Amino acid sequence: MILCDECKHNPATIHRTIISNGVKKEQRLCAVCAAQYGYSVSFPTSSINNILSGLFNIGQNKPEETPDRKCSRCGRSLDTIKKTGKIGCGACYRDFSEELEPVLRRVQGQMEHKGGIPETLSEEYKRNREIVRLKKELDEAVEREHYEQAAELRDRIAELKNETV
Amino acid sequence: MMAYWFESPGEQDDIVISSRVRLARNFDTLYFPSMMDRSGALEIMRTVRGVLEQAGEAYTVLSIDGLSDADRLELVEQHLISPALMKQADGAVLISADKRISIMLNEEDHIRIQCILAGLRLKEAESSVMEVEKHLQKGIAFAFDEKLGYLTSCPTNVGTGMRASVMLHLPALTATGYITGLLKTVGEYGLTVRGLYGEGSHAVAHIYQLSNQVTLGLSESEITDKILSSARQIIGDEREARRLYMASDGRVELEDKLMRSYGVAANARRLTAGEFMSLLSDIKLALSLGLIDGLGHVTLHRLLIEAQPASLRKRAGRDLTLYERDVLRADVVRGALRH
Repeated sequence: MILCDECKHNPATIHRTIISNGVKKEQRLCAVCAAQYGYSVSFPTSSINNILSGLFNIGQNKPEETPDRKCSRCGRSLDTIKKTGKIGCGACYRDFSEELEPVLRRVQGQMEHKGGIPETLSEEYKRNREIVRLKKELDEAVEREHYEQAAELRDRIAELKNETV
Repeated sequence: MMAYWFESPGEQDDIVISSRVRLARNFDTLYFPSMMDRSGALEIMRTVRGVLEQAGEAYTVLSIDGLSDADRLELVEQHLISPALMKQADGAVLISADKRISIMLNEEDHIRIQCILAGLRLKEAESSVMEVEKHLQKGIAFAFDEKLGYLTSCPTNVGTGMRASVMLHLPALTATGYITGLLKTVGEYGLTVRGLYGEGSHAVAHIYQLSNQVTLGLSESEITDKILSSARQIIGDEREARRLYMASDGRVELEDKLMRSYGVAANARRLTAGEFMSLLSDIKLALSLGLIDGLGHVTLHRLLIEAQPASLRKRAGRDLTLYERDVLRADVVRGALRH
């Protein structure tokens, strides 16, 4: 392991060449000391983007170019998204849903949002979400043989379904 | 003037340096920052300020192009803005009067709400950002999909848009090598651990960040619960590793190393950033093990920020050469340790 020239303690990860008055000098620095010279150390976003652009290509065994498409709203091309890992606008998620699905599945594992929702969303959407949640609880209750709890959950789901009609 | 997170004590702050929660949101009506022009960026600044004023929330507004390089870097060192925001000419940050909340505008997403607190206080950080988000919801329609949740520039943030993390000082787990197995285990649990200076970097001063990898398919509280339960497990392991170390034949050697570091830090006339960070880790461990009296963890956390380059520059009031900076760093450290 090569140690940092500056602090002589941390492993050197950055190599820089300084030319001063025609004299070339090599310097090996660790992330902390390099930051002192204004070198930004690698930040997670850049490597995540590389991983993402890699993910787009998984499962595409056809090397030939598929025709590039553009988002109907913001005009960002699929190629740019693949290269940069950056989505152009909310509509990109819809327009490129087919291409994005395997990527999301790889990074996120799950595909169903379970967190907070905007207060302005329709009552129906909230109800449907609650039904999905209760159904999952019901499955778990049945699995654990908590039949009393399961019956309660079943009633609650039926109640919510009736409200929808 | 309220205190910054690094000026405050916190639960289990002998091991947990800080707890942080960050929430990403985008305007439904505008393109995401990488496709947006300046007028969009200005509209975001205007709207967010307006909504917060209406809610009666007091924030200091700092636009990135109005700040000097040193001031920007200082905010990064204080963990109030991200390094990415520094490079956004149209970027801005709003900092709450109590300094717990910073709202970054026009970074990778239109809005990033962050709360950072000392010690293990992830739930408090979570409820603080959710409260700010609720205020903003009153005046802004966020990009949201019924299936995918909140939509973000990068698919890694979609769903809750939430990234929560705790910063942990784990010298004993590092020294004993247990950390390697630990990194693997948390990965299987949907969490990730990285060094203080980002992914892939060597853990400077044995400080690690534990955060969630996944933002979709879990609720906000499930995310913070997961990190908290992992953090508690890791904290327990670190304490046990320390106990075993102190009960072993290596005790004197360890104490000798730590106290020598304390001696150097309390007397040195010149300290590089790298040397300072490793000394700080040793002193923090010595303090936790009860080897040093009359010093608090807050003093060390302050140093962790105040001995960084931009903070030292600010203190000097002028640009410093590397040599001058190392001398000033040693002065600041000596002063803090001798109190």
